[in-house]
Amino acid sequence: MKYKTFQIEKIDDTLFEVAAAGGMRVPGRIYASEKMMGTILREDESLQQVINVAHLPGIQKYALAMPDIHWGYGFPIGGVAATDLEEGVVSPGGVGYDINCGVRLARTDLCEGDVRPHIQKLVSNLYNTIPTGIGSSGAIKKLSEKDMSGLMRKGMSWAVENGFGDADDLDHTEEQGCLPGADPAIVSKRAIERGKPQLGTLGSGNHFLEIDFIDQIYREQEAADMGLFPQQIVILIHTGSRGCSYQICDDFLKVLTRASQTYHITLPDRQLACAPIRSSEGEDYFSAMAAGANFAWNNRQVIMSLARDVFLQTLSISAHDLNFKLVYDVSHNIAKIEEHKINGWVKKLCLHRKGATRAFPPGHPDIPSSYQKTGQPVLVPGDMGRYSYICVGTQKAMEETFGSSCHGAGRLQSRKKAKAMGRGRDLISEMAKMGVLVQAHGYQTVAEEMPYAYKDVATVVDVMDKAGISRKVARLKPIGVIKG
Amino acid sequence: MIYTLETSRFNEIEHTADIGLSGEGETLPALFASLAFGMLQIITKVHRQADEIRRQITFDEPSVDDLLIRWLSEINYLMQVNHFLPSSIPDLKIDETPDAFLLRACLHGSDSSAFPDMIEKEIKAVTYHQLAVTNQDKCYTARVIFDI
Repeated sequence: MKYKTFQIEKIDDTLFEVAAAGGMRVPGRIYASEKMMGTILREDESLQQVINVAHLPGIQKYALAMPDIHWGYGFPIGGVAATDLEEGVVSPGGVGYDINCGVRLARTDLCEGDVRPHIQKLVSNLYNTIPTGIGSSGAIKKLSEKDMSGLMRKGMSWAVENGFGDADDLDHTEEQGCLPGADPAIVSKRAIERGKPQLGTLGSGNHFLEIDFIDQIYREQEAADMGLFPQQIVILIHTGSRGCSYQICDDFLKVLTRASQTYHITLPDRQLACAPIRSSEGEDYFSAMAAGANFAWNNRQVIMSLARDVFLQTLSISAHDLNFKLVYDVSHNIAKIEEHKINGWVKKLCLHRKGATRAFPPGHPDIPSSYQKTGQPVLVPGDMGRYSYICVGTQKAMEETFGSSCHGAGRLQSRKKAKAMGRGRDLISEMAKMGVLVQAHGYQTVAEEMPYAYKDVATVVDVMDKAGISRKVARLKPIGVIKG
Repeated sequence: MIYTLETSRFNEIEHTADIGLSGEGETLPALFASLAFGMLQIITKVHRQADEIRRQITFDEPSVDDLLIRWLSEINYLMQVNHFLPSSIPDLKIDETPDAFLLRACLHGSDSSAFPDMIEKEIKAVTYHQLAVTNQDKCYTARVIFDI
């Protein structure tokens, strides 16, 4: 098949390749079904963005896209690219404005039947405790500059030291909840000001906190290793680093646009602005990005801790009976230094994952000891009405996608169309009939986030499972949601 | 010229994941004002005529595209951090020098912090994606995509 002047080859039922041509330094590879590929070619410019990413200096092997690929800024959402540390570049377009937007899953000892009778009160108490929505201020005090500096440097251990969760949570978080090298002094005053009131807030748009139950288990041993069982109540949290990182990305897009000119890097898209990783600009971006990432881990840790308290108080049960524990926390917008094999040699590379999740295999030293036999949990949220998935990483992911998998469903409809479809309908009641109690900041949010506005995440995880990149472990169904 | 929501010309652009605007004006300041109030309409549909707070903005950028992004980003920042809700722009000038474009503006508005529920959307960032400022037939136009 063809896309503009580019030739696309079908490698197998789940993988397509765009041959390197023109300024592309490597081929592009897209994980998708044939049906999805037809949609991708018709709908938006995301394939062009894969081709653009392949122009990055120092890019290794392929410019990759996961099956939830759609239009982003610079990189497509679902984009993965690895660049050589000595000869390659780092690009904020490969991370996104919401640095370390990610997902965490917490488990309990409760079953759906234990919680369903109390769902109204639980959702209401969660909504009243965890700030949602635009510009929401934290449920904790507004941070000082010293606090901001501390949490940016220390990562998630700052939250643990301040009474949110415990040390075991660090072991169950990607990077132990801290990207090294964070330097708050590099972060602009504006970014600090935006972040100060926002620790412990969900934000708006597609961010959420969900109460789910496990309705299907596909791999029993892996599920048991994660402490999961049928009908179990779990909590899924999706949020990132809020205004702090939007500002960091904005600030550094300017810096790296100038740097692209300084280092004579010509790229087809301004939002791919970049700098050599070993340059002062590249190193500064890494330091600021790490600071933003560390804010996000603290944010999710505080929210999870608040949610746990709500469960204890609302259900009047003991911590022992609730047995609330973090299963895992993954980032899906980040750039990190990782070791991967290139032509048989182990090399340190800069891994950009934008709307893509790390998916390390069993035995990898960077995943918790409790998951050494299982592989790293990969958390893939769907829309608020249908389902989400827990998967695990594989060795094939390491070989083919730099240990990366998909991150979510992707929108089907624009917000405008979704709102139009919802006009005159009682959407909260419709969701209640689907068995999901929704509490959100406004009617507009509910309309924009209805299941009909999203693609079916099952098709995305099925492609990854069929490709052997990540394996399905369990499916979650929502019963309560809070949104901004 | 005093620029207000009523003098502004803009339309929402369909975008699957985010929100876009197209705007126009007979002059570059008119275009910038149109897009500012268009962005404001994305953030809140409530329009207050109050002008108890006045803010001056002055900066320069190497290109008109950069100038537009900076203009909208500044207003977004003022709204998010200072809870400043613009109601009119009584003064907006854009001058071109050999090296840069210089913008000077005075905005009038009010404090939105007492009315948090009026804010409907948070704009993460103003993007360069498909940004194009053009001047054709004595009409300045531009389209901007906002990451939300």
